[in-house]
Amino acid sequence: MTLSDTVDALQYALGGPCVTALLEPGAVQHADDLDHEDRWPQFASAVVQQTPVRSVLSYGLAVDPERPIASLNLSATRPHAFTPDTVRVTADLAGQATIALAHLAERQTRLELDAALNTNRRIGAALGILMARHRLTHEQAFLRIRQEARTATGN
Amino acid sequence: VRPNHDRQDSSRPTGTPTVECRGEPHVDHTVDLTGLLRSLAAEPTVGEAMRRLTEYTVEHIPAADAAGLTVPRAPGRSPGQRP
Repeated sequence: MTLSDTVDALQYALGGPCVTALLEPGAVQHADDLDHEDRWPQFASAVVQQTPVRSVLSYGLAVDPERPIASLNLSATRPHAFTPDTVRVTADLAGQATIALAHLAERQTRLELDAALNTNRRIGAALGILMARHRLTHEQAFLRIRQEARTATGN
Repeated sequence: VRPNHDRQDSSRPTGTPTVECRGEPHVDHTVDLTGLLRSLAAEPTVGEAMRRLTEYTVEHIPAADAAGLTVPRAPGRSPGQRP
């Protein structure tokens, strides 16, 4: 398990800047010294006990705040590792990443819908053939196809 | 998808358009954002792009020892809802 995996698991269980960033995508969540962190005391205590991480910086990635894509989380083993300059630069990076990920998600959805549509057309054609050839109702033809599919896949 | 990336080597990769800012807060630190967009757009899936994003972050943000992404656990759930 990587350092980030450990921090991620802890914040899922206890809350933390990464989860807060998901809930409030417009704001940067910065825990710059986990030895003296009041906003997420349980998370900070667990991270200090279980990892060398002392600074966490989180950004919500969202075009639509109601449907965040993810939060980008940076960890450092030093307290006060992230300077104002780093916070600003990472905010720029997070903004660009949001656009790229949203674009990719839309493309992936479109491709999946295209594939589903093609499959649906083929099923429709097969239903028509069965109905005409064997004088079946639409439902009977559909059941026949489903039965054949189960037999073919062993389910 | 929980793509995370830890810094394996503290040395900076060569040829990256960044300026070291650790300990020098007066120095402007930049990241090649166009390069980031191209890099992510070249990935075939959102999951791969997320993994690439964490790598890119660690490569280009010198202060970060590790980077990861926290994702909402399931579609339709409130964002950040506990698993």
